[in-house]
Amino acid sequence: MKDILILDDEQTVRQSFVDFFEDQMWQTVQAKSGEEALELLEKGAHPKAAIVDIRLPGMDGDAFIREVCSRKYVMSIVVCTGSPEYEIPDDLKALLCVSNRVFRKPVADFNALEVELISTANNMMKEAGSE
Amino acid sequence: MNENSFFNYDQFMPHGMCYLWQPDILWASVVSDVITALAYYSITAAVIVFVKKRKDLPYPWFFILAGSIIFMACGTTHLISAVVIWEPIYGISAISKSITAISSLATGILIWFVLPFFLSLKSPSVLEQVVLKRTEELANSNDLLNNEVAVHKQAREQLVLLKNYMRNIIDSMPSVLIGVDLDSKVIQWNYEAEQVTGISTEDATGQQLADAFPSLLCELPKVEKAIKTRQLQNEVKRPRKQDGILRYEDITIYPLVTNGIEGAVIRLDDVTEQVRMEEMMIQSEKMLSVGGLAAGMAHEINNPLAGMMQTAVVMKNRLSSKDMPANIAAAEESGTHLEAIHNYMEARGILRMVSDINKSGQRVANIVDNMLSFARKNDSVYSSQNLNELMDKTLDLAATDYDLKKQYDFKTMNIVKSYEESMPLVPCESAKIQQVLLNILRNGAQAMQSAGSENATFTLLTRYEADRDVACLEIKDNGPGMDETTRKRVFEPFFTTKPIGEGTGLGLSVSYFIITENHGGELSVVSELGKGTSFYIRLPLSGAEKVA
Repeated sequence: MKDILILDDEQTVRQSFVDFFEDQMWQTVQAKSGEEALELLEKGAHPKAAIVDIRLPGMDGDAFIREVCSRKYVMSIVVCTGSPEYEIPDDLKALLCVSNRVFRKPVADFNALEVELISTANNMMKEAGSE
Repeated sequence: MNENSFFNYDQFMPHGMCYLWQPDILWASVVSDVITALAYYSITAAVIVFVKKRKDLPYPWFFILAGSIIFMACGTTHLISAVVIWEPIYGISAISKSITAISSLATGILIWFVLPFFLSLKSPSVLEQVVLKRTEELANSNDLLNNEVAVHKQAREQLVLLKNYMRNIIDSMPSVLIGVDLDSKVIQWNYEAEQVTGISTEDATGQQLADAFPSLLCELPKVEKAIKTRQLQNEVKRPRKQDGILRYEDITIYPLVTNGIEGAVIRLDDVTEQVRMEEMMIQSEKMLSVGGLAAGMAHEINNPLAGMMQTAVVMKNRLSSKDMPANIAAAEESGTHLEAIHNYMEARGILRMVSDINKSGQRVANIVDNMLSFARKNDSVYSSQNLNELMDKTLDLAATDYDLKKQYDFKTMNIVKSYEESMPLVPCESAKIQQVLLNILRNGAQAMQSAGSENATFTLLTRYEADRDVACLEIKDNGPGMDETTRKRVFEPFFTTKPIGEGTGLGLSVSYFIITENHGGELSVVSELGKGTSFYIRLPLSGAEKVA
């Protein structure tokens, strides 16, 4: 079963992601803040992929990704933000689990987003297997 | 015998008898008398001539009396003495002697009265000394006078020098300086005033201020007030129309309060450029804050927009995807099947509507993105750009530019590219250069559209000018072109040929600023009525030497 975490504070946006991925046969968990998402992970949710917004109440998306990595959760992450000037920080760019392609909201092409998530995951697996 | 009377001298003896006719005594006596008589007459004549010639002689009557009468009488008496030797006219002799006696007596008395005066007359030697002294005094005072004249001449030269110096100072002032007297008559008129009015100092001097400088007519009350209150009067940024162009002036009126001079000096400064610069700064300040605002707004707009558009995408999937298991299951549960739903959607145009929502949303997203293209901070650094690529990017941007697309029908305009293939890279701020290119394209499109130009075409040329080491980009249109006046003012801030509300008049002046000030480049325009317009952007490959 494919599990995906949708982290976005904007309800309608979050819901549209959830609806799309559910239609594509994904199992979704959603959170409106980084803290809430970490709590879900602690409680046993183990998504293979995540869509992460950057501007969030409390911890921001970058901090959430760092926290996920430091806690050794394994998931492919794609950043999806409405901020035009956002760029992925260098320390996160270096991580295999984070896609270097940032999706700007509104996302017009959901399929590309799904493809990016899967290819990031595959890339991650390949590297892990070669180690 | 006849009795002897006074004039009957028959009985008398001639005087010669007394000499017993002894010839030596007789002739000696006669000759002496005659000579004496002649001498006396000569003296008489001399005295008369002297008195007549010397008009300034005091007491002329005295000289006539003492001189002529006495000498005349004496002479005659002597002459008669000679005659009586032979003719005994003793009566006549007696009368002659009597006249001599009376005149001599009168002179003898009168001489005592006139004596003090003659004593007071200076002798020639004394007079000479006096004259010498006077001459010396005269020479001294002449020297003094000469000195005085020299000092005066020097003072006058200095005065002229000072006057010229002052005139020079006043003339070299960049302000119009006009001096007026109490009756508002011009008494000073400097070079700048000549330049501004075209009236020479000679012509202006003495004229009424209102005649010489009509636009100052409304300032006359202020001039009067300045003189009356002895306080400076001024007005800043006074607007004035000149040849249809709005210009601004600062006017300062200084009252002249120095003793002996009354009136005022009017100073006029054209501050149009400063005012325009200030306005431009304010405008760009505003635009900067709009840019900052845009960045913040973008996030706020993008999120609800994402909610809308992404939901519409999912909606479309659920309405039209016939092989999606969830769709099939939901349809069956509802007692229908996907085919029927799809037919209904088609019949009611629902899918078209959803697609419209997406298209409109995409347009909002593009507007936000375009707005941000000028606000993005990370682009404000210099990067090496190829003008060909930059031009192409701008064309893409122009194709999505709402104004260009909708108002000016940019899509229907032809684009002819004539790029030099190996253009060197130019250091520049790409966003700003794109802003300039967009401005020029927008102006050209507007001009071609409003003139209804057929086969409207932009020709874009790039080339490297090796002699100046600059990259040149030419944007040429085949629009209506500009007349000389418009062409000269096209980069002027707030100059616009568009109707009020359509253009800010800032686009090209900001462009000019970006190219010349920010990039040390050159923005020029060549245009002729009916022959289209070409804008030339030249950017130095060495980069901007003076970055504002």
